[in-house]
Amino acid sequence: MTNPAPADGPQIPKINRDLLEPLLSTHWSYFLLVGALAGLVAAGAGAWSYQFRTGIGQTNLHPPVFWGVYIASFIFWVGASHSGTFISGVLRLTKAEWRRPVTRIAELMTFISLIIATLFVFYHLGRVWRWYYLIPYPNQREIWPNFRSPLMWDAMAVFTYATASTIYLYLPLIPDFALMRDRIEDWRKPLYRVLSLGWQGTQHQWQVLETAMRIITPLIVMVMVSVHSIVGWDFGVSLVPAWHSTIFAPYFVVGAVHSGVGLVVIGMYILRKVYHLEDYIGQEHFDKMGKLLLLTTLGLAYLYFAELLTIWYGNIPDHMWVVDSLLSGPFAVPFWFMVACVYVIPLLALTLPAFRRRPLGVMVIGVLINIGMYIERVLLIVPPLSYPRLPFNWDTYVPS
Amino acid sequence: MTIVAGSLALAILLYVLAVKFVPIISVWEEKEGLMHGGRHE
Repeated sequence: MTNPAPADGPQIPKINRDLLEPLLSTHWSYFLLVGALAGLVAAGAGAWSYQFRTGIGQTNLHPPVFWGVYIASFIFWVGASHSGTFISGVLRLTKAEWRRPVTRIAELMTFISLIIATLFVFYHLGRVWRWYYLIPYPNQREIWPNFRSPLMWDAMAVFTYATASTIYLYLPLIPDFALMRDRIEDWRKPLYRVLSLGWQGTQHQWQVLETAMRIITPLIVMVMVSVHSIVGWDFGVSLVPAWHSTIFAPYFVVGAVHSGVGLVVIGMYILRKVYHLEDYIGQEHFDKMGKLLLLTTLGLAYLYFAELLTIWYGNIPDHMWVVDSLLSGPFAVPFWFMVACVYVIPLLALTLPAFRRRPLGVMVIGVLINIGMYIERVLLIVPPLSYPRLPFNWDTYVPS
Repeated sequence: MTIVAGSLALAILLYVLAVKFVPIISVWEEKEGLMHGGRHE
């Protein structure tokens, strides 16, 4: 990190103009989009309120399927939150210069994805007014919270990650808040004044910021790995067929990075198109992101194959019922669709250098990966719970 | 599924609102990139 102030030149006004333009002018279609999204959010809030009054049974959750789309969505959104940490944190640590236009897009996704993931913990609670049992307060009297509950681990992991990623988003925003404080003259100015913490761009301030970033960057990468490992252990420590596996932690982390990078590609494409940022987000960025996606595709395919292979080789009937239901049973259609979206199509497309340099193509792969990863998260939960060890209890689940 | 769809809409809404509040590309990092041989001719 160096003080960019001395680099003043003909390009600086263009950068200021191009990058601050989305904040200064608003098209009418923006308000239309906000209105439509707010309507959908209101519908979701109404459904949640209905669930309060009538109970979580309304979601069709029932024994033996006690986890459903809420937990699948929780895992998906925690995974999506790995986008910012991986893209920004790992690339910052490795001093990859091409990361610059992508980091903020990814860091914002991390922050927002964590908010959404936290909401799914509350949806799943059912009796949400008892949420305080999730807070890890000292319990010398050995009453609740139950530290053996995976839901408790999730709460601790997500709140730690949310705190760290908020700091990680905020620190590099300080110089930009100061820039907006000096250039924007509307209702936002007082807010920017507070958020910029008196930033003047002195050498000392840059050094302090650099030190803070050097400390937080490796920490956030470690928290990123730990948080999804913990989500993986939710499954790994259980005795449910096809969940009782030691490979779940790395499998979850790589899967999270896979869907997270896919989400960033979607964001890059849309923002580049809407705000005409072609001078900043170029074909080479999509090429690099495509290579990252190829890497995560290969890593995830290896882990998934290893998981299925060990179950097949062990040939334990309880586990094979689940695998058979995926390969040729009632879950075969979504399973093979997921395999195509997450592994086969990305692998075939992204190995072609010419394809990786097509922003639209890489964005479509990002969409397919995220659709596939969501289905994968549902398939991770529903089939194993539908086939418990005692066959008299077999049942299925369709979300309401 | 309405709650799931509403949550997806909330994620997009928060992102859309954030775009009007923070620069979507880090301005100072882009300027720093110029010193390291970036492009924006």
